[in-house]
Parts: sequence; structure tokens; C-alpha cells
Amino acid sequence: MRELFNEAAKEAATMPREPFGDTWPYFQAMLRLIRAYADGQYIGVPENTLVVIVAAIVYAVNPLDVIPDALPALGYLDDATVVALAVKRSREALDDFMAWETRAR
Amino acid sequence: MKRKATTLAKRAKGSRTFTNALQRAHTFARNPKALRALFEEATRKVGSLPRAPFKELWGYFQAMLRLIRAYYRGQYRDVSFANFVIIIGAIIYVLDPWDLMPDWIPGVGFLDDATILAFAVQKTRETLDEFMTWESGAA
Repeated sequence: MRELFNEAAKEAATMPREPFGDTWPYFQAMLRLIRAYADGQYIGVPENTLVVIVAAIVYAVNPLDVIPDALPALGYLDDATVVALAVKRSREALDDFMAWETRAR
Repeated sequence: MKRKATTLAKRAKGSRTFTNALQRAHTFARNPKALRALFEEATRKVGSLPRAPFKELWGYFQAMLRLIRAYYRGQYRDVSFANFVIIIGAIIYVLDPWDLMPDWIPGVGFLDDATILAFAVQKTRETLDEFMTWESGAA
């Protein structure tokens, strides 16, 4: 999991942000949540939500998905759709996590 | 509906509450103690704010709070003064219950806050995105 975070964080730094629009902060929150979870700092997330989050990150980071990321302009549309769907399903958990971030550290 | 939304955005931006908030933000930006007090007030109040009017901007709102904390702690200062003032001003506005549409009015009390936040995100998105990239690379 920590490895997934490392790879995803590196990848995310070079990804175009425009296709993700306002869900970008939630995508970043997913990454930080995975890190906090892997490090045992934050475990207050339901397992099925965690699965959704991990799946979305794996999809977004994988360059060879439905629309390969190398395609100009279109390459990240599918990733953005997957992330938006995952945000819809995990919104509450991510909001709770961000609230924890501002309280706890 | 769209026109109504833009009118509201204009009125909120031009409101005395927001002008005052930006003025206060100028002094806050140079004062880590004041920033810390603002951050603590925000985290106290944020639990009672309804998230619905802010929609997905909520994620950026949270990023603003974390940026302010990282700034007063001296961990992260990679933000221009002008952008920092807008971010602080937006937070002050959102926390002020007596703004253009007072926050206790059911249903609409936070619509003006949401337009101010949208304006601030539009102006400072790059700063906030870079901050979040820093966050996931720092530890």
C-alpha cells in the first residue's frame, strides 16, 4: 500500500489536472488517506470504501487503461470519470479524513 | 438561474463583508499568530458548516485551511502574497455569519459563501494544487 502511494504520488505530480476539475483535491485526499492508512495513523475508513479508493488510484496511475494516458487531450478523460465516480462513493469518508487532518496534526 | 448565480457572485464579491475580509487578510498574512487563531477558529466552526452548498469546492476549502496551517508553522511558504490574501479573505468571509446573506437563513444562507469560495479557487487553483502536490511528496 505504501508502494502504491509512492508510485501514485510521483505519477500524480506529472498528471494534467484540468480533466479532473474540482475533484482534483479529492484525488489528492485519496492519496494522503492511503499514506495515512499504510502508516497506521488513520484507520477510520470502512473497508469497502477503501477498496473503491484503492481501485480508483490504481486505475488513474495505470497508463494503459481504456483510453491510454499517452493520447493527447483524451488520455485522462477516463481516469477523471473513474475518479469522479469514486469520489461520489467515498465522499463522506474523504471529508471525514480531511476533517481529521485539520484536527489531529 | 445562471444569471442569478453571476449576480450573486458579483454582489458577494462587492459586499462590504468581503472588502473588509480582504483588508483584514492583509494584516493576517504577515502575522503567524493571527493565522493560527484563524485556523483554529475555522477548524472549530467547520464541523457545523453545511457541506452541500459548497459541493466539490469543499476539497479546495480544506486545502486552504491546511495551507494556512503549513504557512504559519513555517513548513510551506510557496504562495504569493496576493494569492495568500485572497485565500485568507475567503476563509474569513465563510466564517463570518453576518455576510451578504446571513448564514442562519435556511437554504440560502451559505450560497454567497459558496460563490466567494468559487471565486477564490478560480484565482488560486494553481497555488492550491501545487501545495497538495507538496503535501503528498513531503513525508
